[in-house]
Amino acid sequence: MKNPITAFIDRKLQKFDPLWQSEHGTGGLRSRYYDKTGIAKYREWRGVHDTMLDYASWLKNLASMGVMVASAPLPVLKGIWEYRWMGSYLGTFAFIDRLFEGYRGPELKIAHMNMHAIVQSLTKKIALVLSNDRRLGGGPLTDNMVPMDEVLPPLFMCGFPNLIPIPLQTLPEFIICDIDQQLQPFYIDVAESFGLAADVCSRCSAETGVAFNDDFPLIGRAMLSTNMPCNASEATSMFQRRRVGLPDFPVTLAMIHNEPGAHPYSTQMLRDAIAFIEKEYGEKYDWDALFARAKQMNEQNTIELEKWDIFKTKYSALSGIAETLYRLYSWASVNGQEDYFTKNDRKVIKIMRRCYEKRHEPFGGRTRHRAFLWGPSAVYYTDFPTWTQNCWGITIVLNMDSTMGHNMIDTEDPEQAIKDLAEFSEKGVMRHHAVGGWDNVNAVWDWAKSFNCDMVLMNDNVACKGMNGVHAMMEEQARDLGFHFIFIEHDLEDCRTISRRDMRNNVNSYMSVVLGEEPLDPTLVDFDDSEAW
Amino acid sequence: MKKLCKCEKKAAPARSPGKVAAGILGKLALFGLGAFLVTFTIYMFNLENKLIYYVIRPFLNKHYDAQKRDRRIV
Amino acid sequence: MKDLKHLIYFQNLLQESHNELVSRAVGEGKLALGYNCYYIPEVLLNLPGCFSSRLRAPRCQSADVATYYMTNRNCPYVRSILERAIEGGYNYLSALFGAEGCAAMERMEEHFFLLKPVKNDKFFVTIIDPPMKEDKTSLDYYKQQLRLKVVDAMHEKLGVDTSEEAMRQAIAEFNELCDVVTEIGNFRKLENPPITGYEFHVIQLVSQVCPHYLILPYLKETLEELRTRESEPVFPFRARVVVAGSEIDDPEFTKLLEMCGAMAVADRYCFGSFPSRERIEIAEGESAFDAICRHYLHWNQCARFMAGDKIDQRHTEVKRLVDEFRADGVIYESMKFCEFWSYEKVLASHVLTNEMGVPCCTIEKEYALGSVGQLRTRFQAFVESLEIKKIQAKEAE
Repeated sequence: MKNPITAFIDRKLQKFDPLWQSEHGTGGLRSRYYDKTGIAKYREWRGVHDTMLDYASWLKNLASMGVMVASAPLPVLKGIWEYRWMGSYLGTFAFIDRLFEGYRGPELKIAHMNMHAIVQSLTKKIALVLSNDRRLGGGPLTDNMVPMDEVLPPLFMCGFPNLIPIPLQTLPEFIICDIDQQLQPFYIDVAESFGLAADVCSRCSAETGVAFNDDFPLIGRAMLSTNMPCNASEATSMFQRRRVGLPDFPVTLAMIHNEPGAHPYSTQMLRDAIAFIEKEYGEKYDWDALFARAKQMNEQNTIELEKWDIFKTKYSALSGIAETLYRLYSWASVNGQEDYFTKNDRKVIKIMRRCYEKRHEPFGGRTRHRAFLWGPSAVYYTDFPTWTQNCWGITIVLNMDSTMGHNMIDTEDPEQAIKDLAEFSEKGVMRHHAVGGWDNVNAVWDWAKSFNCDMVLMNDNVACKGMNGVHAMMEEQARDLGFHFIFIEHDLEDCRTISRRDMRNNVNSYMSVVLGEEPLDPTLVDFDDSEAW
Repeated sequence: MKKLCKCEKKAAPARSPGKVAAGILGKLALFGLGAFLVTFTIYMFNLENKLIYYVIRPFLNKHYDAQKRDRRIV
Repeated sequence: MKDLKHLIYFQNLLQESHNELVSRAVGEGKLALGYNCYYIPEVLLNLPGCFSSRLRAPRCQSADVATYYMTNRNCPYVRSILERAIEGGYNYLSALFGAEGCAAMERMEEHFFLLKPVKNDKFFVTIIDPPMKEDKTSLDYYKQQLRLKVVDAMHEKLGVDTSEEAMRQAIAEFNELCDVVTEIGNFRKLENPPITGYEFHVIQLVSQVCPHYLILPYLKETLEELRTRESEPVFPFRARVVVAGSEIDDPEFTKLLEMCGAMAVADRYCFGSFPSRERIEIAEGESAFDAICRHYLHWNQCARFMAGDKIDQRHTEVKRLVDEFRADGVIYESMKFCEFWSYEKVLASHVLTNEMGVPCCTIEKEYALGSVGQLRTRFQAFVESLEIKKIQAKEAE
């Protein structure tokens, strides 16, 4: 039951609540922004309880950042001064604000729990990397770090308890593009200034630019590159290996990974990678250490599967970007290495169960469509699912990348464990369904049906040759199977080619012209955020 | 009445431990309230983001643009 | 120089995939087996009763229907092939052996079973997952993929004899063809060759798109003709270049380059002779199949190879060609929208120029020869720069 005092305050202040404003035609979620900038004049009033929850979460994240600076003050300051991408991390608070606009109640609570898990992990990782970056003076763990391609799942590296796998591109390229859409165009321009074609995948182009601009931290004694997820990623690895200048081992897992013959190959490839690390770092692989972390990953995946059961209903307090970003980070970057995420999952699933039992309908029951988001998403528009929810009532039930490796890893038999790890690793980010043959990409309809979706939003990365290659087949399938289907054109990490506004217009056109629907919040239909982070 | 000089100031009566604790708690509460008011004002009026967007980032960008980097292919 | 006797005939054979010799072989009951990529060993598709047909889409001017399926942001080669398939240009094929050499290629090959554009009852498609390194793990996987999706598929679905003897016979015949083409190509090493790059390009292409047993006699005759063919009194070109890069199956491209004054003395690109015309040697105790797999994985110069040794091999191989064929420079080409070669040409031209001292020019092209004016300007400028370098080198002496 609601506290009568807060209920009274809420009633008095409800005219400041953007959701109330949009319902009463006096404004909306976009009303509080300075034009173009993405900077709000003031934060969202969500009622006493939710505003205080948001404020407390803001404080917690602020504390994590304080701890980061306090734990390594000089390296962090040096890092900000040295690396362009470090400056972009200052936009984190604004980033979190726009991710959870319009969130209330348990949706907001879970979203912040998930987000704080990411913030506390990422801040520690930044402090760790900068404290041991040779460019900034190095540290005691410099030689114990293993730079790895960020799309290679690091779980198998947990068998080296004395080594620290670091996803090399995550800090300067991937995560930071989520936070600041203006950063990667700089690196893309650097790459193109050396003659790289402008039509290659912008994520890989940006990685190449980071390498050319000498902006990778210098850590480790040998590196693991990979062929994952796709062609451009393989190609950029060739530059990075030369520029980083360390002995490298390309972990080339099977591309057509949905066939039985693929797994023995990938299994052997992982064995070879382990042997390479043993040789380069003089460490012995410890299966018990692996099993300990695999148990964490298994528990996270078990909880994930239970979450999916709740996602299939209309009573899930977790959806959209709160689900997507967390799963992406916890799977791809953490991959069982941090207990915090298992603990967080346990808490989140409890709330989700409770909400399901209470038949709690999220977002005030304003959901009109349940959509599956398929294909690699635009990194520079992380809050796109939040926008679809707030503007048109389209709930993103699940994202393609959330379906990454969810098979269980054997925790007793090394032979079986490595086989399980191979299958698990083959189904990585932007890969499980985007690569490996038609059946993988065509699986969307089964997923969408089983999650009770009436809509599929198809991310259309203009530079993704693989997904472009199935364009018409997907459209024809959608028509035949009766799904609402929208291509969301984007350029992955280059907001100049297709802006966030252009992406929104893809949805606006379909919703207003094809479905003839009215927006939930008219202030969100068309606005300019070209100068925003 | 004879004025008391400084050295003749009457010693304050000894405060009970409960009062001391209450004083500390009061000060802490006051500090907490102050901290809350400051941080909540920053939070509510989005002051940290305004500072970063309009002051810190332009300054840093100017620095990054002026940096000399070892820019090459390999 | 006097015209080569069969040049016009060869040119005509390149006007259609389903050309006169392909028709004759199919009429004789031979099975036509299509492929796109070097990862599919040509020799395996020439087992007894079969012949290989490397897919081209000659004279393809627009790929509208394929563009609908694959968007206009995709490789023009794969779109042109798909378009030609939809037009019915490959109905003579009994199978297509694809390779996930790149995502665009794989998607195009998938459309061969999704749209079923090839009207042939026997027709089927398999797609191998080719490895990206040359180590033992990768070689084993390559063998497994070729065994499962090429050799066994041929045997089970088409009844082809895939025995050791059959493979040895195929290798022997293949080597014979390779020797002839290599010998023809070696004339380009001469100071004043009796063959142009364009002529060789035509010869190399017909050797890939026609049944070997039918084209071989013509090639042998051409070889004999070249032995006595008189070169131009003076070397007619201003420079000699190696052409390296992705897919080039249009000899008009080479003609354009040579009209700008640069003879293409070596062809290190998909559909070129480096690699493709190296002899297959069977080591002692090795099976024919193992020798084929080892050979193709070793000689493969695809830009998708990720291991350091294979990356270096790509560059040293081009340098070897520069030295052996006495080239003045290298033209690195990439097909528009080709992820691999977009990267490789940046890296390779840097390595060749700065680490090996070989001048390079990088270009990007469409499948159908468009933007001729731009290409001509680039080629002419490169030829001039090579000439200036020669003059400067002489002056320095």
